[in-house]
Amino acid sequence: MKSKKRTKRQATPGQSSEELASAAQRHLDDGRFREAISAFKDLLKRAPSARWREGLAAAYAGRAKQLAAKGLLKEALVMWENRQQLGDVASFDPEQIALLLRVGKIGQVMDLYRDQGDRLPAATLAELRSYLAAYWLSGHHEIAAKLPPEDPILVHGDAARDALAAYCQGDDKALSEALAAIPFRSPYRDLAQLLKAIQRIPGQPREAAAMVARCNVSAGFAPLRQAAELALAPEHELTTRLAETGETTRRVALGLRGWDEARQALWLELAKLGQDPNPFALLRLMYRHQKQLGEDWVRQQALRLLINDYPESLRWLAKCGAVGPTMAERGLIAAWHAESKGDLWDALDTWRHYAALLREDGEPASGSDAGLRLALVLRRPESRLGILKRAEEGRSSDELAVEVVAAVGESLRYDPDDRDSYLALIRQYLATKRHKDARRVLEQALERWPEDVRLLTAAMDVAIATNAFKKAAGLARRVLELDPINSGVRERLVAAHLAHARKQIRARRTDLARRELAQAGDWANKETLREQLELTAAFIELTEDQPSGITSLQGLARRLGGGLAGALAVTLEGAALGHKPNVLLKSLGLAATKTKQPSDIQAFFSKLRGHLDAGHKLPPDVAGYFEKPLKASGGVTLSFQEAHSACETLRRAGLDGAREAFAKAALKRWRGAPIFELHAFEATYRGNYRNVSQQALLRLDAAIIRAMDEGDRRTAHRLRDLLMEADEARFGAMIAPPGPSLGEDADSDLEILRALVNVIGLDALLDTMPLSKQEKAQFKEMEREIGRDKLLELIISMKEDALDDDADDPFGDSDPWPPFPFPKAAPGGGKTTPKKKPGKRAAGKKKPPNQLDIF
Amino acid sequence: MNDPYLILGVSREADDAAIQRAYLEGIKRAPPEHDPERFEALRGAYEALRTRRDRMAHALFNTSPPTGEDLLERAAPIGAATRPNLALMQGLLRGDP
Repeated sequence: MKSKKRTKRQATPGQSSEELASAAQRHLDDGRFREAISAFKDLLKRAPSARWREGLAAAYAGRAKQLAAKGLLKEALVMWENRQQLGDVASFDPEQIALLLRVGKIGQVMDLYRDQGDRLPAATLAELRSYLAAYWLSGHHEIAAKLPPEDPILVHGDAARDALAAYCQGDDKALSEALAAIPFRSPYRDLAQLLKAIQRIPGQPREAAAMVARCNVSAGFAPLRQAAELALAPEHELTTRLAETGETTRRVALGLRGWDEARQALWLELAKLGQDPNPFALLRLMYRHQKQLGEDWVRQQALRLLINDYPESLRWLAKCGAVGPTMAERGLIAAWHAESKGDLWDALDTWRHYAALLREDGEPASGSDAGLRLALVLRRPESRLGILKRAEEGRSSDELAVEVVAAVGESLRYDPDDRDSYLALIRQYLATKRHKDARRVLEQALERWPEDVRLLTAAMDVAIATNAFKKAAGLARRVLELDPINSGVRERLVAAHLAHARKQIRARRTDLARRELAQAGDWANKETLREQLELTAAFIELTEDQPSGITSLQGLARRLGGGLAGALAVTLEGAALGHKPNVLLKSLGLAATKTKQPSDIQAFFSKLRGHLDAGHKLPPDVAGYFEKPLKASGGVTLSFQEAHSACETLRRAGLDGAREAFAKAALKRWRGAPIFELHAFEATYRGNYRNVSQQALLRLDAAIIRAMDEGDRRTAHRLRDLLMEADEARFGAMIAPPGPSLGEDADSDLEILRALVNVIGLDALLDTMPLSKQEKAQFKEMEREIGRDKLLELIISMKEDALDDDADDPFGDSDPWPPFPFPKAAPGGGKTTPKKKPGKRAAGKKKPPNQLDIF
Repeated sequence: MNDPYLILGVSREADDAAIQRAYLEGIKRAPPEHDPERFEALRGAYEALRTRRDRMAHALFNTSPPTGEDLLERAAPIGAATRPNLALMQGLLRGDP
């Protein structure tokens, strides 16, 4: 073994005894036993004391255990011997015995047992005996000669030996008899307990675990206890625990778990590959054990290991001595790889290519295995990537959807029993208004599953989409017969009747409209649905008898909350029947005006949210009508949550003028609140960010910092996205996004800057920046608003952005301050900063005079 | 373990009935209140193999690479517990590593 060069021990003449004692105790507590030994020795030299000797004994014991754990057994023994030499103060430690037995110094142990046994505490003596008992049982019967015949190690030894042999031979009857001869106070007590426990492992693991837990952790039978624990360890802990265990314990434990030699050998090979094996290494191992694993299985699994490093990985099979991938296998791996990358077109293309390869052996028959395989492949882009659903939501191109529709349609030729494919096609045809195609597919599907609720619901949707309201109502009834608690269909049924009723009202066939409403009433089991029907009924009345209809609508508007809320309810139904909001409300004497009532505003937003949640849009004339009174009502007193919810609802409804009013009113109450800064900015500029003011941008920056400070990451990200969008609109996508980075720690920069500002003042710092007078004033205003620290953080984040821009030119003669958000007016007035290449400043641009490089 | 056939303990040729049988036996041995992890694994495996279409889709689209556990289970499945012989037990009591 290489000898380590030891550093010369630090002399401690300068330290007082108190300081040294405190350092020694600290070393001991922290597990720095070498240092503790040295310190306690120094203390003993200064003044011999029982306290220092106890400390030194503990340090020796700690160091001995450390060394034994590293396998340095001899060195560990020296430490125990040193401890022993300290005299009575160092009581006998059972771990020392274990170590002596391990290195074969049985004579010393026997001397200790014989000479000092009587003087040891009872518990320590029991442990010492259990070590000797385990040693005797392990085949070292020579120690019997050194023990008196009445020693319990010998008295109970035969029974213990018989029990062990009976257990190993599987003779449970003999085992029970032998165990019965071992008394509770025997040194073999733990052995008896453990043998009973491991006997129960296969059938009664819980009982076994409880028995194991009752055995002594550190006594002579501890290795058997450790093996039993490992045999009972939960599956997810096993790999880690096996890696920390010696071979003998592992073999006993795994045998008890039902692992045969072959499994144990394979586990060892796998363990060498580490926790997260390299795919190629795993592939090689699989091919080495191909016979055990099965050739087909290895081939199938091998292909899956080739995805990550595709296409280079295609050579791996040959390197393992296997046949390289066939064309079809290559096609499959390519499709898996494309899918894992998430490129929709690529995935579609590769699956189509694989489908073509599957067809090379001829057109498969419908319903055959080959047909099913081809069908699954054809519909994979839809079933896995949901391209049609994405297209419906506008998240993928219509062109892509057309391709997928064709593939799914084709798949039904080979596997006509897949309901989901029919439904996906119907949904897509409905979304693209291909009603004839939708009906065709629906008929095919209903032929197969005439009572299927999802198909009948789809049929109802098709009927509604083609204005076949009667048919829709009939279909809805069929669905409800089959599935009486289907509330969605109930609502759709009411909506279908309602739509039909409106159609009749517009055609002035009010009797038919009433009939539709009566039918709808049979199904309307919710308050909101019944209110809706009452509103429609009042409009029928208005058509038949104007004065009476006006009275009914006025009464209903009052019942529905009056004020803005009632007006909205009446207007929405009126709009569905073709009434202009202003004309209608004027004739009803319900013209919407500014409100100061929080309850009215809350009722209004509740109604509006319900309308939007049902998937309806706010008709433009209704939106236009309510914009003005809502703007005027922005100052109404709402709680933070209510104001937030109001802004979100107004955003969804596209009422930006009103949103601006509500957000700005909220900012007066909750100064700088990030969510309202966001709404105010969005609603004020409405996507037109070319002429955004500097102050507005600075406010957004400050709002990001505050949102981050408050832990509101969602708002912080929304603000940052908004800022990027604004920046892009102003300068194109060439400049790195402004604003503080989310999650970077700028504490040290902040401290430096804070210290600097303390010395030179904020004015002097701002003088180092290329700012106009107005911009400096804006910064100072910001300081008042958000505080100095936040302002300095903002300055740091701007600086970081500038450095990010210059990342490819770290030593270039670039301007340390970004042009954004402080663009300089171009000569001649007009436009601001000209476009620049990303990450580059204009070459040769000089630093402004008086500019310090404080970073 | 990723391989649902190994989780359920059925052959690659098993049909719907055999797979359902294996699943029901499995959850009887590992009910969710006693062994939720095993129950989840059985449930997932059953979902992956329940019908002929599911099995074909699994073969075509499941891209999870094999785990060490898959290999162990495939090469040498866990069998009945075996008691150590006397020599091995004595070695253990002696403190052999």
